[in-house]
Amino acid sequence: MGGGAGAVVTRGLLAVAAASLAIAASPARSSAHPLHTTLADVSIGADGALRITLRAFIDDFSAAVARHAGKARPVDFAIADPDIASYVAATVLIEDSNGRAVPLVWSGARRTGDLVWVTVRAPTIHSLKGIRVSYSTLFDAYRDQVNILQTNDGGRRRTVLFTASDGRASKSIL
Amino acid sequence: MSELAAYLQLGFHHITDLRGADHILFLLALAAIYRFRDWRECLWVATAFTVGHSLTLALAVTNVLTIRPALIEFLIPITIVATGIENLLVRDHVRPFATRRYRPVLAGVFGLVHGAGFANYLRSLFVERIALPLFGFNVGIELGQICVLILTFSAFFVIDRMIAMARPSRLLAAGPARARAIVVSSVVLVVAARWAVERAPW
Repeated sequence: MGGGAGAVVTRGLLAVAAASLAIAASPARSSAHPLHTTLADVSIGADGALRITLRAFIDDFSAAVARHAGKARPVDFAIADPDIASYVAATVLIEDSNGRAVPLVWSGARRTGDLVWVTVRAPTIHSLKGIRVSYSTLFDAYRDQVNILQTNDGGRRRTVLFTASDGRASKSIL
Repeated sequence: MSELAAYLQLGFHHITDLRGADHILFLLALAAIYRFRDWRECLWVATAFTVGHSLTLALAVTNVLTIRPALIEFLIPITIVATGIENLLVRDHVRPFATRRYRPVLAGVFGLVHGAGFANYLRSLFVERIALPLFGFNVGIELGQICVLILTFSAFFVIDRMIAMARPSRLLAAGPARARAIVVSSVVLVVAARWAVERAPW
């Protein structure tokens, strides 16, 4: 066998070895690369109280709510309002300017297409100043989950990102 | 944090996340044939990918274009396989850049496919104000790609030196960069082919 042919064979064997290694090392099951995100808008509502409207993809959210409630994954993503309220209360935590936990009051949930919209209120909070938020929704489901929190304080908009590495740590939102 | 900075961070995080390796694998496939001194050419190709990617993303989130997610998830690894095959089959990668304009075009076309990959997510989530999140997200992706390419080229530089020092004579008939390109392309091709089979929409 000549030198040129030998080089071709060597390169071919190298490619086969590399390919075999890749097959052995690649994950058993691949998934596409989705964005695992939820989005929450925080503002002072028309009634003067703090309002949070959280939107999430219904498939992931309903599975997490059911898991939190100790129930089976729901068919057609149907989840009960009390279970949603319980999950949101466990993963969206508000602290007032004195560091005290603020109870959230259920306002309702609706579904549009792939999204579920959940609204809760904090009737005792009338300003965003000094408020801190912990936003760990779906961190139990995905390690690459990123929760986006947007505030609108009299037209001044700010955005805070919460990643799984933040855990349940609270952050200032202004 | 400003809105722009937040979405820029989101795009950067998305492209550099090792748990979702689609984009990183595609960048590896794009970069595999280049040597350290070819970085400008590779950056041009990666930017063409971003342009294609941004175009589809913009069309998809504004509802001008609607594509089945399952089809896109299948096509993404196909673009990686195609790039890997091109790397293995086209041996003469050292021709002057002017005669190889097809590669940025190829990257741009494949970018169109990748952009549709997460358009559904952005479109669903940002129903009111999409322009700023979209812009910030794309800038973050471009910056993330540059970081991935810097790391890739640094690794290629070291690997090429190691291969040259080891002097496996037959392998070196085509040069250390070619040997490294064959290994990287083969690995990327096989992993992506497996993903394509797993994600086949039929």
